[in-house]
Amino acid sequence: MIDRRLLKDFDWGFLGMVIVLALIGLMTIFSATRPLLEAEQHPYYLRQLNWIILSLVCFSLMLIFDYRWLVRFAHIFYVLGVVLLVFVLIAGRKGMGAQRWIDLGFLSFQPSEFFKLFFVGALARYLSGLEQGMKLGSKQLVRMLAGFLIFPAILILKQPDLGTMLILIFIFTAMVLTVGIEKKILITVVVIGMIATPVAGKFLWGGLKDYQKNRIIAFIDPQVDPQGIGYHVTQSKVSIGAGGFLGKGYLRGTQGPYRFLPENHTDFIFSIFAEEWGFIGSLVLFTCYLFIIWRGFETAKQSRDIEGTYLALGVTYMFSFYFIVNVGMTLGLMPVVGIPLPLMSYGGTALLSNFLALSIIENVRMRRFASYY
Amino acid sequence: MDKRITTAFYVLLCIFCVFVLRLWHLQVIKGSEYKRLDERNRLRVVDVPAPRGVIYDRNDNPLVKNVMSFDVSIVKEDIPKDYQILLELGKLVGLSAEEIKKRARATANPFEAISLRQNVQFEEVARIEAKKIDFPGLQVEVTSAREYLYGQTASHVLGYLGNPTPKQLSTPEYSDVPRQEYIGQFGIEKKYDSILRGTPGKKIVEVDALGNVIKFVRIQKPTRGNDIKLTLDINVQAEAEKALEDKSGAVVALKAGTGEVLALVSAPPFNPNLFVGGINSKDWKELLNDPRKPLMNRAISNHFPPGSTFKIITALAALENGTVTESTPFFCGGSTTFGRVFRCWKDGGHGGVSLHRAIVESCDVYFYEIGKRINIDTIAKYASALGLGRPTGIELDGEAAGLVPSTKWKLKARKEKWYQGETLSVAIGQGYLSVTPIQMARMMAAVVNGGKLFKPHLVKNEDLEAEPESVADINPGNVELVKSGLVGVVYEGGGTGRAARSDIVSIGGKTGTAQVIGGAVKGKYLPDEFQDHAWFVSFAPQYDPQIAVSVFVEHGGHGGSTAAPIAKRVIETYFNPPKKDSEDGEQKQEEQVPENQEPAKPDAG
Repeated sequence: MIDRRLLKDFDWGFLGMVIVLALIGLMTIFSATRPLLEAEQHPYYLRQLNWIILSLVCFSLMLIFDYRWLVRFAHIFYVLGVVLLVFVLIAGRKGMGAQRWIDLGFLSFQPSEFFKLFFVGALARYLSGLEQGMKLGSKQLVRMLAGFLIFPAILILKQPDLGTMLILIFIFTAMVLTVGIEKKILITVVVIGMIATPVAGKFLWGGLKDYQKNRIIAFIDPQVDPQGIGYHVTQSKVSIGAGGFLGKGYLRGTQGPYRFLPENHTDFIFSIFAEEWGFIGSLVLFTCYLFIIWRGFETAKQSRDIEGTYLALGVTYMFSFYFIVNVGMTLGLMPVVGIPLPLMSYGGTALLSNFLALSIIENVRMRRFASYY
Repeated sequence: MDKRITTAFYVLLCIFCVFVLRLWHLQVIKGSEYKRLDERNRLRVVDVPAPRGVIYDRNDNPLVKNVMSFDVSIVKEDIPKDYQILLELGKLVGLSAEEIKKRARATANPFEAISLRQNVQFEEVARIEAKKIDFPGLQVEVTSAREYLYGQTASHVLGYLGNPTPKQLSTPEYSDVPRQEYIGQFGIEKKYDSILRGTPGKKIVEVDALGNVIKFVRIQKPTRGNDIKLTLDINVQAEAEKALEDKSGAVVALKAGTGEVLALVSAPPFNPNLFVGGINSKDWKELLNDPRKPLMNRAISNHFPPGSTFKIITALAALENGTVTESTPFFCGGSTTFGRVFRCWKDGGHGGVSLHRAIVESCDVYFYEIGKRINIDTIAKYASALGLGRPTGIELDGEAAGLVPSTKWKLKARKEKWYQGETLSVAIGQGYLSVTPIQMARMMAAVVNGGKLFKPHLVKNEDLEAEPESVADINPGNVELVKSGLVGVVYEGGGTGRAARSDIVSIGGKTGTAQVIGGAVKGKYLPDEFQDHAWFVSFAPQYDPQIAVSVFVEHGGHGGSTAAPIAKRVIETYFNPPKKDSEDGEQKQEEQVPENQEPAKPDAG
């Protein structure tokens, strides 16, 4: 089993913070879905509690396997992930206008949630195979784009799951920039990008679904149709703003249970939290997230090998991006894309995949001094 | 590598800072503004209608009261978008899909409750409640509704309620009236709406996004409207309506010494209870298209030649003027000539007649002779001194002025000079003359009380002594002469008003028959619309008269046979009111309702 020396280096603070955030999420889900008229409480919080327990178990189990083992088989996982993505497009369950789920009968899950982890693993495997210290050239870049990004990105966009696709692109870009890239390539990409943006933009705009376009329009000007497409953004800002400095107090929020804020327990859980806990509470919450992200970067730096660095880095980028896009969206700073707030939003697959991702950081961290065996 | 990771962390830190600034902006700087928005989301101000004041008759019998009513409404936002579902909703509440849409269009506020039905019967409420689950936002609320306790009795006086029109809403008088509220649109309900209405309260409720009321936050109680006591005597009123039965016409009974309206009847009546909770378009169309025009107030809006009832004025004018004295005789041979032949109603003539006999037997020739000798302006002077030819000023809308012709009037209106021959027609109440039933009642009251002209009024104000509007300068001796003639009309042999003879009280009166078509083609066998209008103006008792009654029956034929018995019943009821018996009262109401509905239906085909 796990070496006792590994337990000595185990980051209890990190795990503790993860659990705290999950429990804050649970409390907020309870508040957001608490009934006002009917006597019966929606069972959302109970289901979430089950998922938290399951996720904790998986988190712990994953620690048994050395992360290097994960990197070694990353390409197999990656291929498996792509196969699942294809499968979901052919035989997936449809829901809310998208085809994202695979139904196993006893449970259904979104392969794209787990694919992000496989993607990070595959990138780490490839990058660690390169000569260290070199900057990425055009050859590597094209290889990475063609080998890892383009195909799954298209598959995921087809579902459609704009949020996940953006995450893949972001992780990819962030990783490439962190590893380093030849200056002339960077300049070329930027210049081509600037020239191509209007054209590609038009192409991309045309490829978007109407509701996606509407979300972007609503982001630019929520007043276009406050009852319609801008409704989420407006109500989210109202929820957050109404919290004020100290908040309304736990279970005193109204926007969620009164159903003014739709999807309040999933994508807009931060708005519900901010309404009840105010500026001070939100600041504390931000600090918790920042702590996890900081530990992720620290772990990447302290990893005893480059595989660990790339894995921890990829996961940390992913986690950060989730947080930024979700909170940015509830604050009205970014368009509404369906991205949950990691650890807090209601939803089993997302919770589990986040716990698994964070367990990779813990995995790398607890083995940072393990060169002696 | 480590350096780049550190840089990445700092970049993220910057983004966090931006988020914190944004949070500060939303929660601290604009916090109170968003709190208001949040409350506007959640809190809704609902008007609580004030119960309207009760209307009583002069003996404190309530005529109109408020009863519990079930009102059905739906939040605009929740009106089904799907046409099929909308049709189902319409079926449930008994409205067409178009009607629901029309009502919804009246407001821009998506969260406003759109009133669908009011005063819904309990069985229907149960049906709607059972289906409520299928239509979110559908609400059934208990409010108060008007109930007209005597059904159609006094409908033209009491009036009815309706939603304010857009035009009314734009006037200051109705500025604080909620659009959904029912206000007086006719009769006393309209005239004294501001008194009866009261001040609506406000209810602040917390609602969720679907418009479901979660809880009450605050209630500002409505202030009940003030009660109104009418001068009406509901017994007299009801008896008068019963006496008119299925005829078209009007009865006005006034207290001779004050101008208080004891009864004001216009027949056919309508049922004001139809208007409670909004009249449906079928009933409304039926009312409007009814050829008998039940919504018209014939007591104040109809004007016709007064016929022989005008002879009271002619007689007074001639006596005051000195044209005739009590004993001045004229010979009636059935007709007289003045440019052309003027016929008396009695072909054989009355022989020699003095004033008393002329009134009793309504001799036309006698009054033609006066007409030959008197100036039209003298007649006009007394007619208008006794209130004819102008609205009486009663507290009801739609009063007609009528017309008392004079030389000046003719010159102005017709650009012609007056011919003496026309005075002969006026002398017997024909020609250009035109009066309303209420004017005739007021005239009668003024004559018998010694010339005091009171404004007829419906609202009883105990504090105020009745002040006459003006006092006509009439010699009391002359008044007594005319009065004795009027009593003779009823009680003497050959009197035209014998049908009004009462054993209880001495009644005086004058019959009148207003020609609908001129010439000699007359008779019982003419179709109804060519039959003459019947008048009877009366007072009682002979000495110290207390009540003046005018009866007008459209196409009723002779005043003596049709109108006089009605006046008798009204007067007898006033002096000998029915014993208070609640059972009896209820029975009466039951009888009236089916009676009213029958003739209201338009002819098939």
